Amino acid sequence: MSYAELFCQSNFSFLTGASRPEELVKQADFLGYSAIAITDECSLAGIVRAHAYIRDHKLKIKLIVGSLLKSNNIELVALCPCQLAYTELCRVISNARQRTEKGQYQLSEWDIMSLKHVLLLWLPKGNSQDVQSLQWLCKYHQNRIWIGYRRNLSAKDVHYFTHCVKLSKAYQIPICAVGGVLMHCSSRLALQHTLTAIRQNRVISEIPEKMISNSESALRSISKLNKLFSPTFLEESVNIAKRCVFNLDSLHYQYPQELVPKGFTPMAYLRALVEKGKQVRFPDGVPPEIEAIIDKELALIEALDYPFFFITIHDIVMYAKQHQILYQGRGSAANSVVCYCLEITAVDPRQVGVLFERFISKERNEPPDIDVDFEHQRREEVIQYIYKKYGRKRAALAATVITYRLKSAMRDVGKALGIEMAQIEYFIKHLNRRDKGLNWQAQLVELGLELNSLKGQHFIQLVNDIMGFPRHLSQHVGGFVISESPLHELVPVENAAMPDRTIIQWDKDDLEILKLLKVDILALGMLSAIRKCFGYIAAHTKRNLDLAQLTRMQDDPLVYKMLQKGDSVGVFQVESRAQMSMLPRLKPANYYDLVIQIAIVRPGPIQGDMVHPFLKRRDGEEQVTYPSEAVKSVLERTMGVPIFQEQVIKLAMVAAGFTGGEADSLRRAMASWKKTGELMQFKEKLIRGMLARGYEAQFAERIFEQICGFGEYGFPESHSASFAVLAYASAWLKYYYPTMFYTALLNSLPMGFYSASQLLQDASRHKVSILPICVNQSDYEHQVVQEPRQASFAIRLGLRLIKGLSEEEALQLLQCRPQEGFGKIVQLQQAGITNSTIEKLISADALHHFVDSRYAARWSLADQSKALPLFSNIEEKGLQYCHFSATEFENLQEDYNSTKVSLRTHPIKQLEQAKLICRTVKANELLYRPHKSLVTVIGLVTGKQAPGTAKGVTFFTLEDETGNINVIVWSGTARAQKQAYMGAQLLEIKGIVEKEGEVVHVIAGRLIDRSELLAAMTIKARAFH
Amino acid sequence: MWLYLYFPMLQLEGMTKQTVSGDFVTPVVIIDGRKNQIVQLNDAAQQRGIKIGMGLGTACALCTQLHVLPYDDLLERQQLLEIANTLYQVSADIVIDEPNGLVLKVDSMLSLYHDLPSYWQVISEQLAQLGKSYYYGMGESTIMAKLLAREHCNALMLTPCQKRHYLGKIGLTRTSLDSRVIELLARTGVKNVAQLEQFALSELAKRFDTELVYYVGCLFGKLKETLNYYQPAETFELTAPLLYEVEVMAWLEKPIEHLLSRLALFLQQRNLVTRTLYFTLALRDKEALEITLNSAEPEYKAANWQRLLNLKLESITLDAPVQSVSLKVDALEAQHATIKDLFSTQQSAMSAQGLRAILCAKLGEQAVQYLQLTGDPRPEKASTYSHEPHFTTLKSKLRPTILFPKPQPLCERVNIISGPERIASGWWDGEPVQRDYFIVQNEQAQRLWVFREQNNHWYIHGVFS
Repeated sequence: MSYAELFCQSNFSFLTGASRPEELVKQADFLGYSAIAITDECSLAGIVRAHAYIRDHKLKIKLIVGSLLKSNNIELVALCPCQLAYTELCRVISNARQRTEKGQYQLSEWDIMSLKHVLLLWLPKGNSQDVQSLQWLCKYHQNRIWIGYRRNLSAKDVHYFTHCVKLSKAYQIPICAVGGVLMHCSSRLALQHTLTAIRQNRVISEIPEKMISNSESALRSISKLNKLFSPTFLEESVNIAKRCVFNLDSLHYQYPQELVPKGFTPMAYLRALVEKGKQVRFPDGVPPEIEAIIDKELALIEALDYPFFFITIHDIVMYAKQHQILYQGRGSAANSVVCYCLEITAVDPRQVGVLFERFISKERNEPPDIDVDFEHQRREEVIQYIYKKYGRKRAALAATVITYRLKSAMRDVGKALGIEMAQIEYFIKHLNRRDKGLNWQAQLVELGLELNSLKGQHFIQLVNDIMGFPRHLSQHVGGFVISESPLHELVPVENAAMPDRTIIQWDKDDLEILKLLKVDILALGMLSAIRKCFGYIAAHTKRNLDLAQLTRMQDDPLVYKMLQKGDSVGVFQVESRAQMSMLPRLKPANYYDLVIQIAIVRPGPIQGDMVHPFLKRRDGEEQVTYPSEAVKSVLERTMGVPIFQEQVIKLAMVAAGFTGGEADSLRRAMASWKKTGELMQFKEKLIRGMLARGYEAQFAERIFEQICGFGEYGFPESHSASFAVLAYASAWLKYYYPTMFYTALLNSLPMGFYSASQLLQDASRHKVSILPICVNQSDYEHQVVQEPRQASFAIRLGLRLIKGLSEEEALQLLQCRPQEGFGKIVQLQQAGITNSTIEKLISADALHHFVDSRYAARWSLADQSKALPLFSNIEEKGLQYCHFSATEFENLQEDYNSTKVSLRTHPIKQLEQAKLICRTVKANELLYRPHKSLVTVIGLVTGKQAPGTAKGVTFFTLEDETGNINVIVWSGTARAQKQAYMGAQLLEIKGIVEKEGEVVHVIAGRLIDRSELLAAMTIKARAFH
Repeated sequence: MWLYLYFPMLQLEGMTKQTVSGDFVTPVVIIDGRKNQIVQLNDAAQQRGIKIGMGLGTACALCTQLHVLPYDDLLERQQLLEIANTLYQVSADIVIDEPNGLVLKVDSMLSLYHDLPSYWQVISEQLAQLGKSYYYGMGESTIMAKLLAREHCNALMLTPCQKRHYLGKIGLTRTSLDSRVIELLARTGVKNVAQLEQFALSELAKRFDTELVYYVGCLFGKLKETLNYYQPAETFELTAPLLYEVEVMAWLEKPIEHLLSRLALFLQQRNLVTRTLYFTLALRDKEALEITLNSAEPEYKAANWQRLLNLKLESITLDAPVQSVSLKVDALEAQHATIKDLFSTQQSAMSAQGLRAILCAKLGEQAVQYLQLTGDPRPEKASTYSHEPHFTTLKSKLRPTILFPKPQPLCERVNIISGPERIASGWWDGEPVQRDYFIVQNEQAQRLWVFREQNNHWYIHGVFS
């Protein structure tokens, strides 16, 4: 006797199902079921995973697509026998989901009535209302309806059985056996109970009545089912399964046709677009070798049938271009000459030496990937364009599955087990996830979790089990799915948390598995900054620049010289502290060096221990060797060290004999490594494959380690190549037009690594003059202004820096500003500016032209009697009646409070002038100190970073008036001087200078917390953890 | 003039005195959970670098063996009242400033104690006996005195110059002013209390709201503060000395009757009721015998108390002659009329609560419990006892009328009527079961509830009626 399970909920029925879809199909296949339906509640979110598992593992079991639908008094399992039924089900789920807010659904009677093709298993409730429900269902679904009979060994089994049989006889409806499965095996019962408690927001032991009372909701063996159900019931389930022939692989989706003009085939149109693009990109004619590449690329696009994809993206970027929104494409397919011609990217192929095949290939069997970054402040315009052009029915965002991570798992499981919340928070706060030596379980025990207690054991077990379980769906950062026909015929669409946003129920992996393409519309702050910078340059120097032009001008040695010094504040991707200290070592001198620089200073390569070998080989200190020619072909361009994600995948193929499909699964596993630990399953195959091909075991082990290192943070070459263009462009702008560059950065905040204050400090170190906010001179934005009586430019700080001042307030002020400027506070009041606005201006010291001090101005403003019309012309007596004058320090503090920047004397300098601290070694003097010499430095703590890649080390960034001081604190030092290490805002460090070329660090020996000197200073250290 | 006493460590000192004797070496902190801030700490904790106002996380990181106690304002208040009560013996006008300060009005007491030093001597002697650490300050207003005390001023009379020096150190954030007002003041350069003195009230009134004007006025004694003075709590305490020693319980009836009627009068006059009476029977050559009498409903009538007492006394035997009887009542409540439904038909002589009170009096509090369903699938745990009534609406299951406390092995031939019902649950409390339950009929036509365990052993667990 065989069996088909037709009612089975996975963990995508959030907080109900206790097994992953993959586990369910695997177990059902093992038990010899002929088919299994994954029927999550009003959702198809888990179905693709089950499908992929069956496909990847070549299981015999058949997957049926279905869903559990619940309305007020009817519960149904809807199964899809054919594609028509599938479309229907997607539509009904979409409708039910979109009626309510995110995460909920509401099924209407009409939804059920309108189902014409799906097969329905009705689940009787066992009460008197059932007769009525069944009569109603029979009216619309004759011949497609069954009674789904569950037997889970509860006290009511007998009654329920007779009830079902009676209904079946009375209405001539066949009965089929169903499991009502919630878990793949009975050992998941505790987890299922925990999920239930989390859903109810209660403690498990408090609500036993809400729990299932046994583990019969697991997949059961066929022999057991034979004892529980009559053969006819079991046979019926198999018969139903036989009727279901729909397979997810048959889903195809059509790109919007309207983009292709009449009379063109898509491919012909793409060729025409490329032809047109050639003239723009290569005004002097296309070099023959490039022409050949274009032909090859087009042939590949045609062979893989992707022309629509390129046309769609071309259309979107053309919209951006018309509206002067700066953009840049990246991703596996982006760095092709075709994309260059279509103006999707600005990477000049002559400079990069692109090999399109490196990015897209037949045998790797992966869909092309193009992400397009837009200016972060204007991305919404592009999104709205897509919605307007295709309508909300045809365009939606991909989902992101939010899953349980360690912290959320500990919180929820702890609550369900009734552990004190304070204790859980204590655990969470003190777990060091970077501690590789001690896993979290052991750390919990160290923190006082009773391992011998039952609760402690349950806690660890359940937290472990629940990790990676989906919690809810959220919207992907920018992955759009666009189609010719309404999307809800392809996949259910539901509401996102943001109003007017809809998401599909599949995430990017699901889309990839089904070979459905998505277009990533992402936001990038640097693009805003670069576009603004181009604008300022055009306005002040009449020079018109764009990205393509910058790359076409070829590498500029002066720009690279600046980068080699580590002078990269504000430069895209290489401005972080780690990048900065690597720049003088790597010394990038051309575009491809930058591509490597961006990819190498990442946790992936650092954890995989690839940086030092690369540096040594580059400096000629170590010989470049390859174990084989095949490996050489993959690693040659990076000196035999794998740096990019693509190289690792390629290695698996050439060195371990992975097929294209396997390599693809490996790539997906790498992306989700942290979530599921899927990578381990590849280890044996990889190592065995490499050994078989004559590689040493040590080499194989190292490659696997590197794959693990890449897992989470791996950076593909294709992305790095696009980013390097922006990095170069921003460095170029910084070098040649610093005033415009810093102004553009300031106007694009928040973005990047540095605060306005840090950017301004850096600007003034580059001799850029900065003019304060002034009610009579400033605009809302920061401006580039010609300095009076000089040819040079300066930054005039804008009103946008002022805390709490809205754009409207600022614009109102600018509108009523007289030609000659304001001269008195009363004038502002008379012009209709509210007191609260004036107060903000005072705080920012924007009235410094005509007011003695902030205190005096406020005292005068506070006098309410002056607001009366009778007194309004009386001279501002209050200005003379000033009690207290502010110290320079108080002024500085107010500057920071109101604008987070100050052009006054740096606090360290002030402290020094006030003789509160002694003169110590300054940031800019460190370079001239001998290596290993003892120094004392003091500075504001502006950064504190304990990266996972550097074990036991914390990096402090201290700021004084001359620059930043990089301090390294070893964990031993930190532990011994915990107080200073943890809380200090102003830190004095006695330590040793360590120099490596132009990289200077201070290795801390003693930390002295001097924060008390700052007392009221409110500069918060930006802590990066 | 006002004297302010500030007790910074009331709870910590109160607790350590109770629990640990001798020197305290483990670092202890008291944390205010709402703000996650440390509010009190002992020397050992201080030595580890922990400071008041720190978060628990930081503190724990600084010291791993930290003993953490939650802040308890009730306890603080109790301690404070205790101090007030003691000082009330020597100083008349006391204002309680919860949770940790007392203000004493000095002027009125000077006529009694002649001069300030002798007054202070009396006060400080009292405080020394209590053994609490404190700071003090004196000023022309309670606010001034408080600010100075909290500044750890510890001086009685200050010269104006000294006073300005102290006030200059006190930031406005330490006052009770609204943070908004403090912010406004700071923005015109006013950052400490001394600066406030320079303003004419009219200048302030033009620019700020009345709260500040009132505060500044009071602070410098220009306006009068409204104060509530401490009144010792009213409790009923009465001892009935006996003319002769009593050896038989029954002979105590009369004096007790007298006590109860006096209590009834006391309560009636104040329109109060109580739930608990404490009797103390002083015995010859023995420790006093304490009898606590509880009523479920608040009560004042002597007769009702008498009835409860009689029941209680039945179970008590005297092993020494009684010398005196005293009655103490401290938890008093206002009397509320109990509403009786005019139309309720069943006029039982006793309410359920009344019955419970009588049973409790007779059998003891612990012996009377309510039965309650839990919803646990394990039959043994499906119901439980609780001291509080609890009403659940759980669905009924088919369960036998009589459930054996312990399952008995099945040793007879039976026919299965229905089943199995599988119960596999209870992993969370360490008593998991996995059983298949059946309803069976034995040869005597009794319907039994039996189960089979995983090891195939059969047991009877109950009988259906």
